[in-house]
Amino acid sequence: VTSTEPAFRRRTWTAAAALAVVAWRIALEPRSAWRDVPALLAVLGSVLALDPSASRRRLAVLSGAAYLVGLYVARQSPRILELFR
Amino acid sequence: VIGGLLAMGAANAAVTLGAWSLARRMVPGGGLLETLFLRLLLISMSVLAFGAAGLLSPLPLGIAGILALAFLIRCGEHRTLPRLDLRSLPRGPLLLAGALLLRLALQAWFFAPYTTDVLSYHLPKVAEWVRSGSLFAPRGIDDHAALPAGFERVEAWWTVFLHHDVLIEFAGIEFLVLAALAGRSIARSLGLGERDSWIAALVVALVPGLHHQATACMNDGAVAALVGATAAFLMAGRPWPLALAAFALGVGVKPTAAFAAPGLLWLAWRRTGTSTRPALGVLLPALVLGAWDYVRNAIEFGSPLHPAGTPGGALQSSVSLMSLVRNAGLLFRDRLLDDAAPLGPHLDHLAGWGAPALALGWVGLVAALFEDRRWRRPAAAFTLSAATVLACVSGDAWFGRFLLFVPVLLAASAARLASTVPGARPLLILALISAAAGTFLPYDLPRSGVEALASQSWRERTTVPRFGAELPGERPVYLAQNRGPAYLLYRPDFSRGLVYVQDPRELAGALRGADALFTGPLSAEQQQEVERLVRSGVLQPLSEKAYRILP
Repeated sequence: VTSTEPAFRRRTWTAAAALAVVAWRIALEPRSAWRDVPALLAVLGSVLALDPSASRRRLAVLSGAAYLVGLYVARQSPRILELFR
Repeated sequence: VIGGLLAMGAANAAVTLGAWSLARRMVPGGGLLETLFLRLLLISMSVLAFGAAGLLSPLPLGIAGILALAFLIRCGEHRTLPRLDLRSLPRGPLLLAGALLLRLALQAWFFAPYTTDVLSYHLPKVAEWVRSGSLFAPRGIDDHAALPAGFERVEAWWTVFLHHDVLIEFAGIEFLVLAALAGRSIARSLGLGERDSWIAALVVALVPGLHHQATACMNDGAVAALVGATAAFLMAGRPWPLALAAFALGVGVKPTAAFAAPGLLWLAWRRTGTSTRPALGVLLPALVLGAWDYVRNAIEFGSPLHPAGTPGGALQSSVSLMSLVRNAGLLFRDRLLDDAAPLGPHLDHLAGWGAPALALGWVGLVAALFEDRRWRRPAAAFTLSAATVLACVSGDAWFGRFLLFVPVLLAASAARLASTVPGARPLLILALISAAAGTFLPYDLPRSGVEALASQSWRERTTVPRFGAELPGERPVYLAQNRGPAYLLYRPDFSRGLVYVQDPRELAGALRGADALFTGPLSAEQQQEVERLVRSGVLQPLSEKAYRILP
């Protein structure tokens, strides 16, 4: 794939747009960017836009899902346990 | 109770067989989603027709049910019912679905209506309808009581036969199942297999916002189910009148369904569906159901959208780009992770999508958009619908309730992720466990609250003590400026009627012939009038809100 091919240009623009979303979200709330869902998804989108190999794609997707599941469960579990007391 | 149970059984059998009969004429093989949607449509039509005629009571409904059932059986419709072959269904999702349905049934049995909105303006209507047998009964004094009552009509169905609210949560559970089946249908339309589409259905059923709404008698879950069903019908190429009927029924539940229209129109654009003729028959009743309360409001208040747009009202009545920007910001920044408050049906400062739909659903959707072109249009359509909803609602703490149709699509992408990416399945299981734990108890009905309800007999099960609504007497007056737990005063078996008073000058007159007074939130004038009547020996305070009327 060369830099003049449409597929390359499309991927580059998609990755750039996703990174712009990341930058925008971080600029809005720098201290809570680590838990910003759109920023996390944009990071994932920028990685996938670069058309990585199947194993790297899988790693990116799994990492993203694991991070979000962990984040959600860790923050929600104490509240759920509280209701059973 | 026995007669009510028989009437309920006959009427439910009739609407279910009737729904199946209609569904199989519209869609090859009938279809679970289509049958359940048409069942809810027939229930809503029945309550509207019998209620408008003043015949909303077990005997007329039971007789009509027996006659309709006899007619359908005579036509041989029962012979066309598909044989349920459980072995053909995926075992894991089937077992989980069974456990979930059992838990929902137990929640319905042991919960009693407990949320403030429901007690204030949703259910007083149902109580009045069931007591009077007519839809033209008083609605109470809450300014939101004039909002569309499509969901309340299904709640009336589950209360009218027993003249009791013990099964009232079944209305919400039916809509939760509808949402789950819509998620399954969307997953099938997007190429997922039988097992994965059932997993998508499970993910929808465990969306905390939808689940808690279902067992709390709230109607936003029903709206999400009907918007999801509309999208599912469009994506599956079902006849357009069927999709329009689902949308109309949604609008008849709450105007927020209409706010999602642009995305649904996008889904409908250039779709080719199957033959429309059999489905046209259900369109007119659905349009009547959708328009009923808006027409009544137009006649009664001069505005179909009343109380939206009234001076000082909290409801937004216009499309606003500012609302979209502000609400999207709130959603992205504070609400998606559901960590601002405990989970419950009101979704205070929460999105309520849960770990499976949020974490695996969003990540799965991003992956699907890169890998499969079929996902792009539904994703864009759901995004557009979410954006138009956000542009039409005020940025209060609860607007997350109006976006509960979004996880219906995210459930499909979560199921796709779990099936296509090795290692994602354990994550989905962990997320489902988290969602299952988070949907046991809502924050406003914690363990102590459920234990208190379970200790009561089913005939008297009520949240009266939680709201300090103990009141002696059989003919109480309810005085309030707006809001308050008026529904609790009817009792679970609707054995007590209420006289509503808002104008303090009418209070003394209303108290003649009554034996008790209960007060909701009072204006200064109302408070002064109550104090005057206490000083003059007409009222004897029993608690902060309850008074005995002295002879």
